[in-house]
Amino acid sequence: MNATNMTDALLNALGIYGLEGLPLLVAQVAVGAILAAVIILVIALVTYYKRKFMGDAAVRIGPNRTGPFGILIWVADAIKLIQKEDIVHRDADPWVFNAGPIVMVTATVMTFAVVPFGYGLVFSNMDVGLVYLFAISELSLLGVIMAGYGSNNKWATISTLRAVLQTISYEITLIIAALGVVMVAGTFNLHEIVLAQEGTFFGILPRWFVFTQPVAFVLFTVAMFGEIMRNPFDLPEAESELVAGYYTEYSGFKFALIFFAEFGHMVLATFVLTTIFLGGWLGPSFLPGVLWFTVKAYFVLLLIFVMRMTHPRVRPDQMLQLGWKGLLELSFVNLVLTGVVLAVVA
Amino acid sequence: MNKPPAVRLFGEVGARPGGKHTLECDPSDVGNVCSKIRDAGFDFLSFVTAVERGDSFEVVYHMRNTGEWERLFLKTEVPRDEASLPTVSDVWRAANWHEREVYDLFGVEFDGHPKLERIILHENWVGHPLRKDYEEREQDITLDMIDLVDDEGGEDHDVMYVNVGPQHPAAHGVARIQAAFDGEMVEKVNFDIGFMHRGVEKLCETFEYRQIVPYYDRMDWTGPSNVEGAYVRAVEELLEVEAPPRAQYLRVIASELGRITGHLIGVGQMAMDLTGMTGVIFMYCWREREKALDLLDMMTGGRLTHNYMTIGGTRYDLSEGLEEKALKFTKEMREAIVEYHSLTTENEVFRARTVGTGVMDGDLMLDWGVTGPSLRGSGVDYDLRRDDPYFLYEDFDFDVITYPDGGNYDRFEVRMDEMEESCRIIEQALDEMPGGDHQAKVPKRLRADGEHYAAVEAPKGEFGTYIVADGTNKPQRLKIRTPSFSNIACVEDLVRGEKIPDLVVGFASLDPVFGEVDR
Repeated sequence: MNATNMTDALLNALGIYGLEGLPLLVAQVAVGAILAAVIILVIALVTYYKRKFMGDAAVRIGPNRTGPFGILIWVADAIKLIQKEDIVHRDADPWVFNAGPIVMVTATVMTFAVVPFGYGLVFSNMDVGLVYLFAISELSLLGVIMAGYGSNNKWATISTLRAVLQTISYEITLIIAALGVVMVAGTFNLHEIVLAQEGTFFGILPRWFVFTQPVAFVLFTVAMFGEIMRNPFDLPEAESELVAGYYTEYSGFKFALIFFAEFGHMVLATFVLTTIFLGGWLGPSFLPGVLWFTVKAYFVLLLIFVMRMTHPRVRPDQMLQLGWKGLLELSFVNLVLTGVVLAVVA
Repeated sequence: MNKPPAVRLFGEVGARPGGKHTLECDPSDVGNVCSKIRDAGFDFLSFVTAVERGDSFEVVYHMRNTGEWERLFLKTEVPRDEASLPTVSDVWRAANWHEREVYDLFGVEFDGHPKLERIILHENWVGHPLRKDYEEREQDITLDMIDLVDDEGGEDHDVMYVNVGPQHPAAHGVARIQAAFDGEMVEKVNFDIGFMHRGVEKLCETFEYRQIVPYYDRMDWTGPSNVEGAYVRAVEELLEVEAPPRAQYLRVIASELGRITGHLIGVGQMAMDLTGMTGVIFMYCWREREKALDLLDMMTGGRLTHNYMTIGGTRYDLSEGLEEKALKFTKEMREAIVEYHSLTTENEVFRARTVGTGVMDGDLMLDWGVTGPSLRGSGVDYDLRRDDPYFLYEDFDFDVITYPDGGNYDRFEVRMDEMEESCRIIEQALDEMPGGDHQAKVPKRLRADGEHYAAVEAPKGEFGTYIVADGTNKPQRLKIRTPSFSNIACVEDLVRGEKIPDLVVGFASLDPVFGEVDR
């Protein structure tokens, strides 16, 4: 069966077939909005979990007042932030300043469209899924630049320069490492990349790309930390140096949007890593695919949290050294070796 | 040439010897005399201050030499209406800030000073508060947030001037660093302090000797018990009162617990500046600090401001049950230090960030007047607990920790190791606690005469008190020599040419507390 996308699946489930033209567009937008809302909810819950987990790890209690175990803290946060005054300071460029967070959030939510959460559970089953993913997630960097330059603040400027530098340095490694997987899988389609990981070696070891492409996995993970700007590559935010980096001047709801976009980016990164290296939704059949996916993504998320809590951030020059003088070369070596092996095997 | 340097000096510089290695000279000779003093081996200027003597100011310099840790006072009198004398900031770098402070608070001018501006008060301030005839008046203080630097640079000059603070996560209180960044490189920094100036020295002139102790608590809130020691030591030595051994041991326990609480903040905040708020190490330090504070609470009745040491003893005797709790704490503390090491010095990224950054050699550190763990991190083996013992510290067996390289990493390690030594000292003090009273008999009304300087080894360095008494029950002048004030002066040299992240970390590695910088 050719994997369909989630929009069609949902419409079919509602008994709606054969829509065309404007009605189809309306239906797709409606379904898309619902799904985006679900993603937003997931991200909000992750913020709750992050606070609880980090609280425990740092011998604090964490949120415990709003709702049972403080689970509604994200609602309280959102209400608080919406109520706050929306400040656009005198020297800022209001258009760019206001558009920045919107671009960031839009780009982040859009990227989730190609992530397959389970068999057939993908919003948009694109053949160029991986290309789309890298392209759109890079758009959020545009949002960062807009926010940073629009702020007209020196900290924000330094932060923006760092963000651009860092993203460019690690993006190449990220893509080249992913290309190794693409070569083995023979497709850019994320859904099919997961399907290519079905089966096991010797009946025990799953055929996940983390085992067939281990170097690419390590490179991808390191570059991913650089991409999502988390410790030890926390340079653009670097709150002890750059106050709050590119969002220093933001307040109220726009601040919430930026925070949300950052979190979304992080969650997306865990999803992508799960999809292309950890076999996505694949797993023994006693659990549904979506749950397997969640469990795997959860462990990747834990990795990000633990790194954040225990590792200092590197200096900008160290970040560049690692990116350009280590990861990049290794990723190309991996690509060439993969090609050679594939040629020999084929 | 086996004679001590101070003795060698007399006769050579044409000054007459006074008591306790005191030299006096003409104001115009100060530059000359100081160069000779420096050549004689006095490489550490601990403070410069002034004392009002009728129609003139007596400017006092206090030096030590690293060879024998001998002390020397240099005094000179300048007339009140024409108060000016040559600068010695070219002899000791440390004089730079201290002379500015004297200029700021007394109006004594130092000719040839590279930057004779107000350091603690605002530049628009009128009057010099430490003069006896100073009257309060309304001051016109406008906060100029935009014109930080006169020269914003031409178009072809790629320097960005940034205001780090007074409200900045890494300001560790309220300090402003005006920094010039060339890309990620720090080209130049200029410190602006005084945001927390509360006029403690002026206040102390209005209180009786016993009432002053609580004001010391409020200067270094990270380890207040040490700081109290700096005051009671000076007053006791001035009055020739001796606290009973039991009191001295209790003071040692309080001081070492204070050192642990102080170093825990120093270590924790430096790790936090490296990691960010999400790092767990700071909270882990806080966890142990809470236990130490509980102990101090038991001993003194206060968590933050103890007011524990009195002139001639301590306020309370050893609390019941403290011994077991303290021994439990030192055990837990040692385990915790292992945990801190696993999160910091054993972490690859931490090492990459701190080893070889913020390096300054010991001679330069001394020249800047840096003391305490920051100095010992540059390999200078100097600890007042051993070199100028007080509170019966000579009874205890402990090591003075030094690390050779003088980088951020070394200063961090010194603090980590000193916490272990503090645990050792606490255990010894509890083990050998002498009996007897914890308070000596001291006259109800304390009247002192003469002058005296005494210092203790506070968590940040040499914390000293220079008392000038005039026979009444209040000090005529009380100069507080705070370690952080002298320590952070060297940041200009420390971070030049480093990257922005190392500006923050280098600053944190000196562990300043702004309560004592600004007083």
